Amino acid sequence: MKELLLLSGLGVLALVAEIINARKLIYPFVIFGLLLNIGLCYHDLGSNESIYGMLRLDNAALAFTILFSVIALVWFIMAKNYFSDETNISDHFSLVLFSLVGVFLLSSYTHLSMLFLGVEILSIPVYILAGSDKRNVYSNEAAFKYFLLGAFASGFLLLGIVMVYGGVGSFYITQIAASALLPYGLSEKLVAIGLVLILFAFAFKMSAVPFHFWAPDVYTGAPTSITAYMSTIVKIGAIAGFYRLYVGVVAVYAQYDFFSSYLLIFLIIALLTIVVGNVIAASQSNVKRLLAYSSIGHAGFIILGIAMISPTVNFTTWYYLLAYCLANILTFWVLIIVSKQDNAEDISVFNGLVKRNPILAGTMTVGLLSMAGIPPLGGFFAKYFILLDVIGRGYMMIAIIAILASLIGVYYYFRIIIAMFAKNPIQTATIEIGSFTKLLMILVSCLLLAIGIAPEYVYNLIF
Amino acid sequence: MLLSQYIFLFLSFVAIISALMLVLDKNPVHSVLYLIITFFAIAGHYLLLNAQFLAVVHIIVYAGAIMVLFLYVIMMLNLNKDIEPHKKNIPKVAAAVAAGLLLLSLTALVNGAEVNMLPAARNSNIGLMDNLGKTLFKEYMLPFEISSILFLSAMVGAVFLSKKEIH
Repeated sequence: MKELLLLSGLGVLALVAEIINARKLIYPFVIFGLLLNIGLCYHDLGSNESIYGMLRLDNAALAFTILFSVIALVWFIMAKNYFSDETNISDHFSLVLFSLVGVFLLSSYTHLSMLFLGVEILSIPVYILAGSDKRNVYSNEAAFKYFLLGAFASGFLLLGIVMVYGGVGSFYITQIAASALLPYGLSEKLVAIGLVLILFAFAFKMSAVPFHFWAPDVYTGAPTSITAYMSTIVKIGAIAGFYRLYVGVVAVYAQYDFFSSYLLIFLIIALLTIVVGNVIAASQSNVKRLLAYSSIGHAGFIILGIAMISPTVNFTTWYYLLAYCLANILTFWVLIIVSKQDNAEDISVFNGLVKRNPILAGTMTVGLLSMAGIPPLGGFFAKYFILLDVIGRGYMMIAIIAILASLIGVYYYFRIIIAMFAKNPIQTATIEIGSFTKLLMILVSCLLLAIGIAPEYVYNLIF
Repeated sequence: MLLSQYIFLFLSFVAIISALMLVLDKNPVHSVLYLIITFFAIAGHYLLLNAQFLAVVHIIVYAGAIMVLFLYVIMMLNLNKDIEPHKKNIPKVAAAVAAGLLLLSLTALVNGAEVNMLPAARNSNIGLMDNLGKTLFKEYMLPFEISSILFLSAMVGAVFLSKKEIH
């Protein structure tokens, strides 16, 4: 309950600060609030608190809450320039904070109405934030496209929830799971249709292939800070929500007839997402678009891990998200600084970056190497744990295809790294960054390295 | 067949035909008027499902307020002329085929599914206001309160998008 009140209170506080003319105070308050939220969640680990029977703060929920709070904290520090616009500052803050409430609901719901509310509270502020660069036509296009397709996906989600309710007669995920074991008054067909429709809605939100067509345009059109937000926090929300549904409900129906076809659909989606995301990313020259496609590929890896439903699925999912989001935020951070300097987003802006600012080049390299899955960075172990689960379940072919696809990933990540280190800069002016930014960049890079060196320590800390 | 089944068929027919006309008609004002008919037909369905309060709210909010807003916007932007640009037929055909396939597969799946009477449906007073209020403020207290965040963020967003930027 405290976490929910804290997050929504911060959003309302940002609005009130506009009225009482205290805009300068919002930023420190938000940073402090997020730190407090991490502390509260860490303190609550193991409490298993139930909020009106609608939310349950079990360890998985708290772990996801800690994860998105940490990432949001880094994001707020990264996107400081986004909040320098005096006229809209409190709107930006409150919209971002409200969407964090949505992520919180998605990572802790036990009732399908909270699932729907979580998806909507997460999405609606992000539709608006995607269009927050009001004078830019591409930003308008991004917002409109995202809104229309997102509304469509929400329709599928609702239809799916209704079908599940019609089949079971309850919205509580514990009761839906219980009726799988004691199938009195259960309509198997309706449950199957409902779960598949919900899968499609989540595949849209996670930008999984073949529901990904909105993602590149929206990611490219939105302001770069918001793109970083969408490819990290929004993805955490969608994946946490789906994880809860899959582990809590779908996996319980494993002995039913429809489950094998459901798993087949799911594996096809996961595999297509990995392959298509990485293959198309290799042909991109705009770095923002490249990162958009690479984030599609990473989503595929995560849902492949969820599909395996191993005993440690909560940790592998969580760890992959942590490694991916930290690396992604780092690359976007450098991209924002570099593209602001040169007013372009092509790979060529990274040419010779090491001569212009070695810290930026180093940070970018750490982020890209982690996403490519090079040991000993976090991204390597994230992929390694998931592939281990896949091989453990006997899906050898899937593991091989996933490894091949991530090798394509190595190719396009190295294109940027080679541009930074081996090519001559187009512009020779050095890029100046503040010492605080420098320090934080090095800190986050070290964090990425640390979680790669000691994953078992992270495991013991949270799980 | 029972009388309620006849009413159901009639209402469904009206709803589907007017929804089709809403999409197919080229004049935006006519489309809005068809939308009103669709809403009334759906309100009739709510009545058949014992959801009296929902039916009334549906008519007041959608057929009343939202419709006036739509008409107002159409009149204000002067869209009441037939200015829809002619689009290519291939996307239309593709969309119709895709939607038709979805309809076909969903009906095929639902057809033959054993549908059980849900516990809530046995209570004929389920849609009355006092029952609704009790459920809303007891069992569904948290979603009810949380939805205020949803509406607040939608409002903030609407103000933000329409606000003039000061430079």
